[in-house]
Amino acid sequence: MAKNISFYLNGEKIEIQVDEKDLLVDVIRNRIGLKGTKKGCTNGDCGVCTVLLDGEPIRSCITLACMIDGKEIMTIEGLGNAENVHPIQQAFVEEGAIQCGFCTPGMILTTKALLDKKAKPTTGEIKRALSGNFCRCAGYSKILKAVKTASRNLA
Amino acid sequence: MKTEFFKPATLSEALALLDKYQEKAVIVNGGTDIVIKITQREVNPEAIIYIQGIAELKEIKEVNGDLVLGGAVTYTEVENSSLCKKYDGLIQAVSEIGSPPIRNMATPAGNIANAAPAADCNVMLLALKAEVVLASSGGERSANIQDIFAGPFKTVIKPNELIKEIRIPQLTANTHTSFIKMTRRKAQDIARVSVGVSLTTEGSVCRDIKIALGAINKFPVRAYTLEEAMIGKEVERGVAEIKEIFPPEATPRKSYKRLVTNVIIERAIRKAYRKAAAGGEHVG
Ligand SMILES: Cc1cc2nc3c(=O)[nH]c(=O)nc-3n(C[C@H](O)[C@H](O)[C@H](O)COP(=O)(O)OP(=O)(O)OC[C@H]3O[C@@H](n4cnc5c(N)ncnc54)[C@H](O)[C@@H]3O)c2cc1C
Repeated sequence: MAKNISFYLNGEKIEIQVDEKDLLVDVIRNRIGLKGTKKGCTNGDCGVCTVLLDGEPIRSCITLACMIDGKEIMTIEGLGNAENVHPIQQAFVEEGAIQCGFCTPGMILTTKALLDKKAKPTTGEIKRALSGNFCRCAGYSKILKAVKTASRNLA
Repeated sequence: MKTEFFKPATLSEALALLDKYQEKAVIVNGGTDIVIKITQREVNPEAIIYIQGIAELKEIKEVNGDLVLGGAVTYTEVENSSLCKKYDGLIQAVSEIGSPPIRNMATPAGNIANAAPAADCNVMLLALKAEVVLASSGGERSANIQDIFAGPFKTVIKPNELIKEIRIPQLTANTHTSFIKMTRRKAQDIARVSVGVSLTTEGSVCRDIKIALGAINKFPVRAYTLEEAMIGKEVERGVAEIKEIFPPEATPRKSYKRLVTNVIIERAIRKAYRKAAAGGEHVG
């Protein structure tokens, strides 16, 4: 069996046939070919598969592709690229908030959703927003700094 | 085996599908518990019924003073709802579930139907004496939340039934609620012990109390023995007395839970009582 779904990915309309049991993360990575969204724990715990659904962070590893039919998805590729570096990405680079980089797309997208709602979050609010994004290099203090820098630069 | 994906727009459509497929159907709400089971073939449904498109299940409303959460309302929606605000314990319970991306998808109804022993929202709903309204194509019935659970990950919900809404009775005057869970980490961790409290006071006296315990038994239970020991006494005296009584309703398998349960209960009662002391006549 297969199902046709359509959704907006980084502003572009996608029409694609998926299996009913396909995970969103697999469709994004393997079918559409955008590899910025990572696949980590596959249990919804670690946060590396984070994408934005209508502007809010969700876990693409525990979401069926069929569930986002008709919705808007943003992945890290939709935020910026090497030519057009987004201020949040820039802040992560400047603050050295990237070590191995595996958690970075999820961290940055979660930060984007936070700053869209709250331009000047407190430290507590940043920690709370990022509480489901794990960095196993444990570079949390620099990530925290990067979010604050991004918040300043976007202001 | 083939699996079909349905996204019904109305409740009656969803109920007709459940009726047709019965135990071969699986409801997907936020999907945070069930999607993994589907992809790992722990369940092999012929029909996936995704219910987030049903507008009538997405409502939070007040009916005759009771708070009504629709069967597809998410935790984030509860956290942001002005109607839910006065239920401090409910907000405390849901705002610590998983992490924000989990709460953007996951639902109280899914917590109930999944029936994990450590499910946080269920514990608070038990302390709030919530009612679960179950709909099927044959009609509706409602059950007290304490009668819903039949074992770990087991409920009395029938294959053709859907949680249409959760009704939380209006808080009586001078009632304050609280929730505390003991975890190893602050975020995204499963409760080792959780306690939900609903405390009604008159001055410094406990007029009524409900104490719900999670992660200790096969499903959340009320600590009736401790409740009875508290009622009619000064809150402080009651708390001091129940400190030494391990609730007989709790049957933990791990010994450390015996050591911490009473501490968490005491903290949760004090948390509700502090609100009472600060809030005076405030209901909530
Ligand atoms: C990373 C992570 C962290 C988590 N942390 C916590 C936590 O801290 N505390 C906690 O309690 N839980 C936690 N959970 C578990 C889960 O998020 C909750 O149990 C949640 O409430 C499930 O809701 P859902 O809408 O996602 O359910 P789903 O996965 O959609 O469904 C769960 C079950 O309920 C059934 N169901 C759903 N809605 C209905 C309905 N309306 N009528 C009838 N049946 C229905 C489904 O068929 C399925 O069997 C966590 C999960 C993850 C992945």
